[in-house]
Amino acid sequence: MNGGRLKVDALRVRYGGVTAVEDLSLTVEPGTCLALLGANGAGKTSTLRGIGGLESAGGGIWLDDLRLDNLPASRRARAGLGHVLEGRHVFKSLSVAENLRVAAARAAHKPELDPLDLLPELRPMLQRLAGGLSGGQQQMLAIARAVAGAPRVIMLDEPTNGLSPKLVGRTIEILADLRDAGFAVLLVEQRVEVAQKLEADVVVLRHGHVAHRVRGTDPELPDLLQAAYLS
Amino acid sequence: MDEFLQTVLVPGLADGAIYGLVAVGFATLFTTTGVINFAHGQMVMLMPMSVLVAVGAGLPVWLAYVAALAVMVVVALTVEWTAVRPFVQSGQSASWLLSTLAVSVVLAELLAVPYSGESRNFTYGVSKHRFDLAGLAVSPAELTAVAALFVVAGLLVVFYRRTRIGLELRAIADDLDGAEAIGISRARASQIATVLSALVAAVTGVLVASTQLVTPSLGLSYTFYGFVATAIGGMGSIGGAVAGGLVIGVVSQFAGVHVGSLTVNLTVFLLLVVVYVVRPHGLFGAAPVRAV
Repeated sequence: MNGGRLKVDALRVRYGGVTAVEDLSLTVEPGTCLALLGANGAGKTSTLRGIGGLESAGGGIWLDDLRLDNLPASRRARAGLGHVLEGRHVFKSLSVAENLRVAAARAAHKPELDPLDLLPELRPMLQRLAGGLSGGQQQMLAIARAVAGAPRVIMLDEPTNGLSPKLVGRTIEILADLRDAGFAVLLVEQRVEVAQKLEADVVVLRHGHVAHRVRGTDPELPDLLQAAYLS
Repeated sequence: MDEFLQTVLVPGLADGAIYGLVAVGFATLFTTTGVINFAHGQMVMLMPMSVLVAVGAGLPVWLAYVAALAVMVVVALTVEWTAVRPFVQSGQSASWLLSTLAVSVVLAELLAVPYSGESRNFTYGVSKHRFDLAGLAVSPAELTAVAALFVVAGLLVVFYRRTRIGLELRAIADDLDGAEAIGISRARASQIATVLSALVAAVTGVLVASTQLVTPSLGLSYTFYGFVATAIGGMGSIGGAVAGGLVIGVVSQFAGVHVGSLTVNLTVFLLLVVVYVVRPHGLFGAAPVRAV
């Protein structure tokens, strides 16, 4: 079984005196997808970075029975928290193969899902430098690198940002594959159609607080989002 | 021609090898952490000074070397914790410049304590007595310095390209957030890079002490020459550090012999200015890639 259960209780992220996220609780079960939607500045990225340990955060974070919130980011990752960062953050001076190898070397065990089976389009470019790939190829590499680390939960921050419509469709396929493989998928998105196609549970954020919790298939979702964006 | 080889090239390359080793030490830390340790020159002098103190305390020479290496590692980890780690890949150059300079001053003062700042002869290194090699008078210490530069640089290149830890250090250098997100520890990477840099400083220190008196104030001089070599070669480039060191060694020796000893510093820093005007990122440094 690939997946684990991510539970976040009363997450709080602050930058100096500015509160980015307040009292956010959520649970992502294995084999499901939860999408955080909201306008720019709603606290979506801060939520993922707080859970991942890249920003200091208050509240409780558990991966199954393991409490993560007192661990540094690197140990959270090794415990099984995969994180595809906004902006890809691939290692540009390393080859594609080296990007995957360095992630696999830190994994607690061999991944049950081979990242190159999930993303076979990377096979022909294994020896290319990551810095020379297109934005879409770098996004695919960022997802593959997270999978190479044998995570049980995968957090993805706007994976479709800046991609062509064709690649957005491909990214949705990959996310569905991850969910169907048993991973718990926590997704930050701007495109509501991604959450809808993945039939994800949706948390709409507004000013760092939970505004709504709905199903991605809920016909009211676009209206709720519009209200959140315009508030 | 023979005179040029004997008076400029041989001593210039030997000195340059030392500057190159100092620059390699800088590059080793800078590559991973983005921090230039201005206390590196003091670390260079810490090694022979520690050996001298240990031998003076009655330890056999081999054990004194072991003890000195242990001191180097402990001091390096302390420097890393206090002056390097808070600024890993932070881009806060003013902060790490001040933190490492502060450590440099503290170490310089501590290095002066054992012998009240006086110079000491170091007889536990490589012989500096010259012999004839193909018509040139060279010493084992000079040959060892040049060989050490290439061996150390070569080993580091292999380490970065072929080992798992080397790959992780390169990953941290490329993208700190991306590296932490896949489980690479910033603290551990910073510690490894600092200890590696300290081991390079240990080798450098023994070679420095083999050719001249051990003087605490030498550390600052090597810091600045090593920095110039690093800057000329290109920040973070091992190959650039080697080339920069050798260039500085030969140019400074040429200036000292043919222009005058008072012009050595002037020439070296003028060279730095010229290189920065012509190639702002150094001879081997790469310009940052701008996304379009």
